[in-house]
Amino acid sequence: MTARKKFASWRSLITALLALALIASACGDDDDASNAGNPTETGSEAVLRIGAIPDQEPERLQRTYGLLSDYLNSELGVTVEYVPVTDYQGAVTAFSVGDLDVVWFGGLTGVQARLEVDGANAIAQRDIDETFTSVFIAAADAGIEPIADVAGLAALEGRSISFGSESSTSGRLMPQSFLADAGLSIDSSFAGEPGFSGSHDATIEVVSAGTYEVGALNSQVWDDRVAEGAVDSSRVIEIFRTPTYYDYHWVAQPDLDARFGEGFQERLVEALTSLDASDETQAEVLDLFGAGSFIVTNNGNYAAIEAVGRDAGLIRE
Amino acid sequence: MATPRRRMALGVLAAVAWAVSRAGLADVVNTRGWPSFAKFWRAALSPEIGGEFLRLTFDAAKTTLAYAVLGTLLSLVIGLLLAPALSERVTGGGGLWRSTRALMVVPRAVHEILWALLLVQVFGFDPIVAVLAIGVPFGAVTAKVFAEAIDDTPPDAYLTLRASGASPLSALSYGVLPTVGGDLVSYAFYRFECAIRSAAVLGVIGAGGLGFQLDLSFESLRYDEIWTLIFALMVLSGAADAWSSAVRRSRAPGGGRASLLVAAFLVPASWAWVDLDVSVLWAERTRRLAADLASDLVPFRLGPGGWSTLVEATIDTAAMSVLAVVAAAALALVLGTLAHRPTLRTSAPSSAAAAMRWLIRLLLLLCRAVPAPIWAFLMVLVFFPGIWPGALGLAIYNAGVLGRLYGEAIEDGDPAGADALALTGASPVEAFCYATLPASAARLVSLTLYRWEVIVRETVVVGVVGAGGLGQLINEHLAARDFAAVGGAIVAIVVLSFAIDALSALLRRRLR
Amino acid sequence: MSASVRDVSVQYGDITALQDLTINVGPGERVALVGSSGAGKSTLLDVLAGLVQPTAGSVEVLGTDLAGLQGRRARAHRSKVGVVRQSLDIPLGLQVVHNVNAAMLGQWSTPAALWSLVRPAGLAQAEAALDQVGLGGRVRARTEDLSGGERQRVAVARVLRQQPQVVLADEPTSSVDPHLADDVFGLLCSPAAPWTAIVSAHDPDLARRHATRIIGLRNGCVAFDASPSDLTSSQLDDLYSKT
Repeated sequence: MTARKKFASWRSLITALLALALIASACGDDDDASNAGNPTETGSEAVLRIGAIPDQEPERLQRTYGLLSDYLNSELGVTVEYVPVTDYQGAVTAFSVGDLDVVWFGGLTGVQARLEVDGANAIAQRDIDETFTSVFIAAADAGIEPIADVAGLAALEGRSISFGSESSTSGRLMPQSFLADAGLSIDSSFAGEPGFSGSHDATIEVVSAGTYEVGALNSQVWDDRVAEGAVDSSRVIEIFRTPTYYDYHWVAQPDLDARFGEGFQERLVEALTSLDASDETQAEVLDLFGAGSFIVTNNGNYAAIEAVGRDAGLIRE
Repeated sequence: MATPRRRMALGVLAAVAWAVSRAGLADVVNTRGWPSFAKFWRAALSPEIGGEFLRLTFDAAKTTLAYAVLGTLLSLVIGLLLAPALSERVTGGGGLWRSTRALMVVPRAVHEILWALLLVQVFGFDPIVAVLAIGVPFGAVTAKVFAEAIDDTPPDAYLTLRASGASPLSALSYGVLPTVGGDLVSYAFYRFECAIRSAAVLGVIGAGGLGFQLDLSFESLRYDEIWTLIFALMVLSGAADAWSSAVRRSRAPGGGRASLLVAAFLVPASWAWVDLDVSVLWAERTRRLAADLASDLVPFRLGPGGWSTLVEATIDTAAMSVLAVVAAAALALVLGTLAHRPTLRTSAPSSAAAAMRWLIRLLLLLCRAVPAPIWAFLMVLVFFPGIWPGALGLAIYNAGVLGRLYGEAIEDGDPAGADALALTGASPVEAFCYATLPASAARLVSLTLYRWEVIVRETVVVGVVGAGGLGQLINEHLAARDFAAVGGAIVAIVVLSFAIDALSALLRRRLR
Repeated sequence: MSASVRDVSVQYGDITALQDLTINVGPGERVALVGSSGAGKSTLLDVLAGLVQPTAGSVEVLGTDLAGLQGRRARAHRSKVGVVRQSLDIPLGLQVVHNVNAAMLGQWSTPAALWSLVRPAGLAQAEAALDQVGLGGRVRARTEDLSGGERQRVAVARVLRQQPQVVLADEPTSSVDPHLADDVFGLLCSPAAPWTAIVSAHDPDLARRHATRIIGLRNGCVAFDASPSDLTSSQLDDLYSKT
């Protein structure tokens, strides 16, 4: 009986595989034909694909970029598609292979992306991004006193520390840089290896849990969570707010004008910077970005971030 | 006769002692983390059930299923094509055969997620990435298993056909495959079951699916959403497991054919659902980006920290894998046998016992449906950072897989011995220890050793937990987009996998 | 010469299976090999089939030197050689028709061979071959449903379907019912068949009835080489007696 079954399976397997081969080749042909409309190719149906590093909860990202896509669509007259990404480096990769046209990057990832795509430009940032900050937080019962200045971070020596994503500017790079200013190395000055929780929210969680004594994250996320009442102040407290630095910004592919028409990049910047808080929908977009407005920026503003990134070994080329 | 077994037991003890000393025993458990841990479990009672999120989950489940189907298909094609080259009989053995076999360790040693991270540099966010990331490493394993099946079949038919002028491939198709075809189909379904779980962790590549949604929800720790997705994974994974079990163990004629028809429907449906376009494989952009990646990757090099960092990380990874496999085996032995222990004819059927059995099966399903990185994160909440949380996260996940495999091995064993003991008055536990367990012990050990090889690869996906090891090292190199250093760390994993493959093969031979 | 072995020795470790054996078989001959088990009959047939490389000496079949025969030339040569082996080399899991069609693998291209598993080619020829061995009507049966003797007859049918120039058969009727064995053996050694046959026989009476030449083997050497009419019963008794 079993042998009989084996026979049935065997013959069906061959039939199935042959059938699949036929279907597969047929599908392949179809796709070749439909490929002519591929949005990455030059053409009138070109789609502007925008993306963002995943530094917020997905619903909020979806809402933010959904609204922004609609706005850009009406302002620029091209179809705008938001492509969600789960990973900071994923966003850099998608930009570098050309799957994304305009991306909302963090300071470090923006520099990395521009290093990989010759001629890519930082085009706009929020008003708050000129003066961005990170916070250091600590488990409430770790006995760590609030810290007054960067030099005071030296008091964290010998504690255990968690950052967020490895590639995060506010959740890793700048905190690491300020620690270095205070004479601390993340490789040798702390208890054990530093943790990388993966996200700002996860950093709050692992410090609340007491697994790590100290954590560092984006101050905007921290302030939001405190305002929402999502932070249990009996378990985790803020101990230090860093000096300001340049962080998030929009980076655009160098060939936007060639693909979408002369002057397209300029119109894009114009559209972003003219988001107006007096319009109800536009106000919501700005609110979701946590910004008063967008302002023009340029590559030179991130030279400091690049230098810090090189010191930290996160830019190696 | 007892000597090799005793020596192996001593070896296992020594390995565990070494791994424990490497991981440390001071300050392991973080009791203050319980509230955070409990928050996760409480959310299980209130998953996100909003209509929109359910729709999203349903679509994501279809995508995951599609990737699993297409990835399995590719692995079968690769397996069937490469198996002859890996078969000692077909190639006649020799140096070329030996080196081809050894080379096959490389795609297997690299975890699906790493494959995906590298492939995405070449294809961008394209469904082909998920299909290749599953299909390539699985294809290498499948080819090895198929080749072994060919070599384990009596050679007469094959030789006779060759003597009458048949080509190796024709002789295989007429003289060998019909005999082992059923086994190969069984194995294909087992691969499918594994592919579902793999597809579920391929979130990072931005190609959609439950893994992608999990990653998104995990970013902001939306436990309610995470649970909805976990339940979806349990349904999908449970259904795949049940289907695979039914095919592999069904005695009903025609059952295999029905399953193949369903599979033959799933393939084009999956193809259409993820809109797979194989022409990207030879697109101009692909060639250019592949060349870019190759020049970024090669020559491999050491990252910052040099040899000492790489070697330390490799040793930590080895220790983590030892702790993980031992803990997984212990947990799986208890849960798996409780869930699958054969009913003795002497014991009256009881509904309480049956309910208990199903409850434990559900628990095992939960263990393997939740991806290892999430288990690891939960462990970080209640253990201090280090090797332990990573090892335990892997242990829980793999206990789910092993428990099921153990259970099947025990169920497939002959219950007569246990029955005979029970008739003489032995309690079920005694009958189990004296008859059931010894009868399946060799199979259990060999399953565990295979799992150890898998766990070594999986250590790289729990890099989140500050456990050190190669996983964290690779994350750091990826953050710096230093692919040459990523390549260097991958070489370390491959070397470690080679060593563990060899050790495990040696142990299996000794125990035979 | 249809087949010739010259000074062939085969050594399996310490055991000498064939020793300095020289035999020439001309076209159209029906040679029966007899001898007790271990005398070297199977080894000799394996050497002629190219399945065993001799330790010394040379082998020629249909004018082709088997030493170093590889690739396309090997396949072309082998497709002219029909083989029935003593061990049950009929794989289970296939319909009988495919096992008969396996004879054609040396002539079919690999894709054609694979496609035939889905849509059997040459169904009529397979059926005719099966008819000759008394298995007509079983063409669509599953091999695993056949008895041992029936499977052996399928192996013979395979050779009939192949229509080779040389048949090498090793005790092709050892499991076949006695009353059928004579018919099946007769098919392989039939005077009408277009091939040269070299067949080992477990039963010397079968050899006498059907062969044109009988070679007795003992300890890997030729004990006698005679026509059936010249063969004496004392020669046979000597062959099977203990030394």
